[in-house]
Amino acid sequence: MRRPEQPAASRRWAAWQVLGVAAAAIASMATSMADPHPYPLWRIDTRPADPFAGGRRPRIPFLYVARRASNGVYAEIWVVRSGKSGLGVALRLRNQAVSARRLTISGLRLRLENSGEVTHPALAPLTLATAAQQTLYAGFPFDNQRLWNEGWRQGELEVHLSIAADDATEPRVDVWRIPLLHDWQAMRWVSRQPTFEPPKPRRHQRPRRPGPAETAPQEPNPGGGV
Amino acid sequence: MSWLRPVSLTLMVAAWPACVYRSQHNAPGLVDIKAPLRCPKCQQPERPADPGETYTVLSAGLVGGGGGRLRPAGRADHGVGELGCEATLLWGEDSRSLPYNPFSEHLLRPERGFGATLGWMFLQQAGELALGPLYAEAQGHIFAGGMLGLGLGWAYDPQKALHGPQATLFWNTFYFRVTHLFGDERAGTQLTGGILLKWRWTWVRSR
Repeated sequence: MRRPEQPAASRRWAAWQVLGVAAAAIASMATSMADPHPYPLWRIDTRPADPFAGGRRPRIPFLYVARRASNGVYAEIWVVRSGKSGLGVALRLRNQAVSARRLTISGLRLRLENSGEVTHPALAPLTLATAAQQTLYAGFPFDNQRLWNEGWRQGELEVHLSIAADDATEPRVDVWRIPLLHDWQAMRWVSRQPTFEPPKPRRHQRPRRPGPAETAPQEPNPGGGV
Repeated sequence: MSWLRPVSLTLMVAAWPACVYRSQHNAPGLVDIKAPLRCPKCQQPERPADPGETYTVLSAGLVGGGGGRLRPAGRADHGVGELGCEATLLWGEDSRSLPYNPFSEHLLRPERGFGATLGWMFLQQAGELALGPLYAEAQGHIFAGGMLGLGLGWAYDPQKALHGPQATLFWNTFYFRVTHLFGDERAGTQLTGGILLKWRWTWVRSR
């Protein structure tokens, strides 16, 4: 049975439809985002009290920071480097007290699940003036690829941080144990590195200008916490 | 329309160029642990360098084309049309890892690699319609706007009990092939070219 001829207007409309779909398909291909290849990374394990639970992600991709304030010093630590040959952590220290602080990181140990311990040599002591900050780096070489392939994904970082108000006072030693997790983070890398802006201290944390008779340092955040 | 369904199904299958399976083995990236921080003022993890990937590719499908035969005297005899099937297993590597993106995966072409091909020209039209030769080739390839490779092997015609060397030059879906079967003066040297329509299954793992 022979089909009836379609009117010319109908054929034109069909042609426009095909062209429209083709144009949309090409435009979709051109604008599709190529996700960069993701890698598993070590990070601070925030699962025990996970602020990113419920699908929320950190404001800066891949950045999980452990924070603590002790003896007038605000410390932040995060895993800055992670790959086949080990991991590296960055430790940022900021003096929030009214007087200088003498800091010594006497011990840096990384305990790995089923793979022993990696010890980093002590970092050189440093003195921070009021409101000064410094970022230190410690690398822990180990066979991370083997750990990943064998499925060992947990670790613990131990930091021995001693803080003294000045040379005369006895340093106060803080031992900081931070759980780590080797995690697959299939998130988008940002091309621009955001510059660190330290959070403004709250009113009660701001260093007061010392009076003429006042010599004792302030305790801006005695409790601290991660 | 009765023809629309089989035609669209065929087109859909033909346009399915790759099926990629990824392994998480060796997944961490490359870092230099002893190097100083790239940006001490930044508060962001550094992106690891790309270790690249290795591929194991199994491809199978149809081969079809045409060409001609050269007689020993050098005069072109008559045309040849051929249709066959072949399967290739190849191993390749790439210095760059693929993004996790289906479109990129479809364009997957390893930078370099080697492999082996088994095939059979089950229909060959050279004056008369007949069964063609079986062949086996070892092949190597590089990336040159796609996969550019050369296969060298041996062809065997079980019907006529003839055999001889065969070389195939291929670029993406196109091939050019030279076959010479010893013992058949009429067959001489056969030059053919055509299209490889192969479906691929690829297993990817980080280096």
